[in-house]
Amino acid sequence: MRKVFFIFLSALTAQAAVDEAGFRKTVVPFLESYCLDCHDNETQEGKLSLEGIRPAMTDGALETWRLVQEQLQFADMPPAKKKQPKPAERAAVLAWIRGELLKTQEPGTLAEEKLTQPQFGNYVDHTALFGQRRSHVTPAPPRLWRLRPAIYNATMPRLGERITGLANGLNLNDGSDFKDFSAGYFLDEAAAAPLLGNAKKIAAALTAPTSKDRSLKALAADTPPTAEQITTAIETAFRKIVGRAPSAEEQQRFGAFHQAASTTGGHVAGANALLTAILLQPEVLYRMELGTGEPDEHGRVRLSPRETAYALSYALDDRPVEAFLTAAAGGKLNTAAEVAAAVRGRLADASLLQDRNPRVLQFFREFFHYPFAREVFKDAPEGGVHRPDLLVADLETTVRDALRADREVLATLLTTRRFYVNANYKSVKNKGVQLVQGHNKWWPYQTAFNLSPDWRWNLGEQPLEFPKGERAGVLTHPAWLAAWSGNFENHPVQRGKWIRTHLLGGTVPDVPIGVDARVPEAEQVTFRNRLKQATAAAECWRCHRKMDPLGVTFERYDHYGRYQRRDAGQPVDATGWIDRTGVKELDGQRVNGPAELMTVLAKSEHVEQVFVRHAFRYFMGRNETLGDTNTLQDAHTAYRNSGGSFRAFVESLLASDSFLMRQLPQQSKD
Amino acid sequence: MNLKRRDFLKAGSLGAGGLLLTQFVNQLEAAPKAKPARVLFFVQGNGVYPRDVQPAGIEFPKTPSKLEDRPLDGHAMSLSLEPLAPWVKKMTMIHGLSGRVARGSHNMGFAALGCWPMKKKAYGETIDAAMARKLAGIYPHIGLGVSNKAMSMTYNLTSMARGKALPTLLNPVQAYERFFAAGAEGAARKNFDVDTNLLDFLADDVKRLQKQLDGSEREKLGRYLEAFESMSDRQGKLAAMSKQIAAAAPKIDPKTGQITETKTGRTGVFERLEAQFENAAGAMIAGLTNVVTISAGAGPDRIGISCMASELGLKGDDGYIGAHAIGHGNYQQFAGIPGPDCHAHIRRRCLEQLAKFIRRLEAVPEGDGTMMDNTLIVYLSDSAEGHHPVCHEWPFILIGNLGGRLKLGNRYLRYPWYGNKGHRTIANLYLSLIQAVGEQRDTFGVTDFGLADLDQSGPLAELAV
Repeated sequence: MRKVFFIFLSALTAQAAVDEAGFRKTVVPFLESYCLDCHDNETQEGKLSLEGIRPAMTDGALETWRLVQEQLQFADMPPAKKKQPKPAERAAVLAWIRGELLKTQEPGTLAEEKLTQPQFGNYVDHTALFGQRRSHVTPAPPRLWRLRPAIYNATMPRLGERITGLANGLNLNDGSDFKDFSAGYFLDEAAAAPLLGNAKKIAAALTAPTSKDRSLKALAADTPPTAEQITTAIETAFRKIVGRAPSAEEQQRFGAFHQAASTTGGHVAGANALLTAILLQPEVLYRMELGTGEPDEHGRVRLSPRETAYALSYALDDRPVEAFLTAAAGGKLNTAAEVAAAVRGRLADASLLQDRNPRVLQFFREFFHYPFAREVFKDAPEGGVHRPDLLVADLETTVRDALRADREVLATLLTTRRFYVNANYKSVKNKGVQLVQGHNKWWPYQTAFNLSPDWRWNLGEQPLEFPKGERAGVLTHPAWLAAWSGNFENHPVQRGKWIRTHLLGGTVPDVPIGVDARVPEAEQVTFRNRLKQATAAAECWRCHRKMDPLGVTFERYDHYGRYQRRDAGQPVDATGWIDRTGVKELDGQRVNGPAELMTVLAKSEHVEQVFVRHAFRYFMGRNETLGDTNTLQDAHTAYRNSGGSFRAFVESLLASDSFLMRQLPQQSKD
Repeated sequence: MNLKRRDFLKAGSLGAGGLLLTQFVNQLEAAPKAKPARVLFFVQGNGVYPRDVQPAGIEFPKTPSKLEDRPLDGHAMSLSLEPLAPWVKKMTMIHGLSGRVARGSHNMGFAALGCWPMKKKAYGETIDAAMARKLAGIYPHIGLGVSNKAMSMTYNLTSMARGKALPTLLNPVQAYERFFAAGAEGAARKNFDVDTNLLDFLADDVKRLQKQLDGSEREKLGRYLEAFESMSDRQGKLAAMSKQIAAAAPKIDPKTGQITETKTGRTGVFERLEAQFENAAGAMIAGLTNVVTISAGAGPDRIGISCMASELGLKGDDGYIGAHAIGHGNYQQFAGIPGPDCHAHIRRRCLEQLAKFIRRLEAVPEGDGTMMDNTLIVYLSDSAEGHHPVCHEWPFILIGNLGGRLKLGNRYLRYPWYGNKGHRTIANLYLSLIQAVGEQRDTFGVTDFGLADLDQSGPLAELAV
């Protein structure tokens, strides 16, 4: 049997040499003087030994070095009672660590496979990404990107005369991170088997007497097809399924296959096998982004116009966009400026639903992850109802408004106090899309927003403006709060982690395996204080200090997202603080409640940059590297210069070298 | 013998691995080598309630401190277990194993068969995948199941390694077409042969493209290539055994392939489950696989099985019985049936299908006995003991003894309560299973830190032959 697993890393190890001399000269003496007393193999304080640590940032050592970096940077270590290094010594070691970490963030290098996953995107140095510009962008290598299920589901049934009941062979990773990353997915036997079943179904529909396609139908007619009919059918099938004409070589090869299959099983089986084979072409199931033409002086090639058209289509929609395909065929997608113009045209959308480019709204769904509220089971609160589907729809109406206005989109979403309550945009017969009041049978749904049971729905008042301090932005909306809560309680840790990673650009290590941290049960004690009991121990606090001080501000709400003044009979303490970001304007800020926290964050340029990084990942389908520095800065500038237009920002991203070019191997170093 | 063996195990966990190994090697040599071994894991969605399966006349103290080990026969089976009553002499009921490390809400997914924190998803190798690796068949592992969702497959129970989840096929007709085509006649058989052409052509085709790529992208396509190569390779083997596949192929009602999501009419979920057991039996009898996992209530909802009251064979009111609602509905009635009783009836209907599977295997002679003699059924829930489980007590019901490899049959075992001396976890049971098929290892999954004072290594000594 062949080897079943493959190693991701093989292609990704073109890493610059480790500075061993610097390690021996600067780092080793430092560790010996200040660290190994407690962190040697014998003592292993905090279960950490630095004895014999290797200077290379690979195979698990990466996390240790990042921990050391953080402890030194924020002066957590050595402990106050112990001998302290001079600032210059500390700085020298930090410089060495950062230098080595930066090497792992260059394009074409990768310390560990996990760094290709979206939740590890923040491992790339923020200061470097938004610091000095580079001479040019170093994009990703040529790549294959397995179709996400939404694309497959949108395109395949159409091919097969609107066939239904196709098996789902394409998995999507669970979890709260961006779903569609090119590194995360491949087709293996588990996927190929159902795809084969689907392809057979579609092939049968294409050749059936009911098929609208005469040339394909002819293959499976009562009499075997003529040579000419076969040639025509292959041509048609390629255009229809692959989206291009077959080459002469393909004509010949697929023709021969058809012949062989017909000999085995008769001409009808042969016809179906031919179409099945075309439907399972890697080119059909993978997005091909290989690039074409002569490499430029940096060894980069541009995506072919056809590849560009598909890349743009799937960046904005779940199906090929005719306008992009036409532009490509007409030679109108050859330059960045042409791409920008095409994208600008496509992004223009005055509709209430903002559904012309579904992937745009989808970004906000995946970024904030509020639709997950539907998956968090809760019993109805006393005197109320819990309707996560309505909460999600209501929040989404606000998001649609922000996208339509397209002004200061991020700041708006982080601070708006205007929310809909059971009122959404819907298509009304003969009247088009309108704001529609939901059915009042969901009474007393409005209590989720602290509106009284007597409150009457009135469309004219929507969206409602909530009092200052009560709500501020998506994170204070019951949908987001419910999505980031437990079955019975708030989840300040997850909320804090979300802010740490999605707005502050920080990282939080995985929960150590085997830790079964439970917040102790106790009546009369606020959840905040119970959480403190669970996470105050030094080994817990090391990570929880990054999350809890942010997340506890949301104790202002109960786990249904209702504003609360008291918890467990005690007044709510919703104070919190921001620290350990390394950003002057943020570190040390104390806030009294979530609204204040969101106001501070919404004003921060750093937060905006972190948002830019996340959107980059979503639209590129990969994590940024230091090679994308210019792309990120340009996109941020486009956002800023346009007064916070998300469309201007996306246009900049999609017309960037990161999006349109591919770096050929062995030439990435200049 | 047991005591001695326990000492060995203890010694093994302290580092005397050599001794332990000798013990097992001897044991293996003593066992007839050629005896087949098969395992069926039947995973019930959303809880097997311990009290609900408790046989009449056996006390059920709250937190026992001693191991209870007694015969099972002579005690009437509870309502849900009645369909299995004819096999009481082959049955072993195990109570008191904990699985706290897996703890989640409504279901533990992969962690139920993997013993690790539920949120880690496909974190490593689950026990069914491990057994499949040891008992390799043409299809090493077949995952079948039913769900109330109109999906044809899901990945939520079995994984062969970290991130390598294996599918659970939820459509019995599709599963049938997948596994028994080689046994068909006429056009269906010709199509099977055309498939062989097709898979070879595709493998060749992917190779061409692969040549243009480097590195990780080349590897990515490598998995696609391997898929076709391995399917093509299997086609050859299947073709060679077409007669026995034809003889063993079940009759599957095409209607079971039409899955609709309904809350007002027949869900057909039990007919689908029956068909999946038929597929499982057929696949084992044909010699296609030795390990099958059947999941009742798999899918993203993962809260067990919902159905109409009439589908439970009950007379009286009809209405929808939603699995989540009954989980919370201790004091409510659903179509005239109290919530907890609904659970018992649903499990009973599921076990009726399992009983048919057992009869199928018993009807096939093998060696001195029947196929069932060399088969072990492991019945558990992916949600331990309840709807919102705490996993202190994870009930298991085993039928068969894996061809005499385990000391099972007519036994009721209840281990001391969580944390007490002698307490054991589900990982220990899984170690018994994997060691019984010759894998020498002493730990499985992730240990429970809450039991740091107890030795969590090694198999259940009581099951050793």
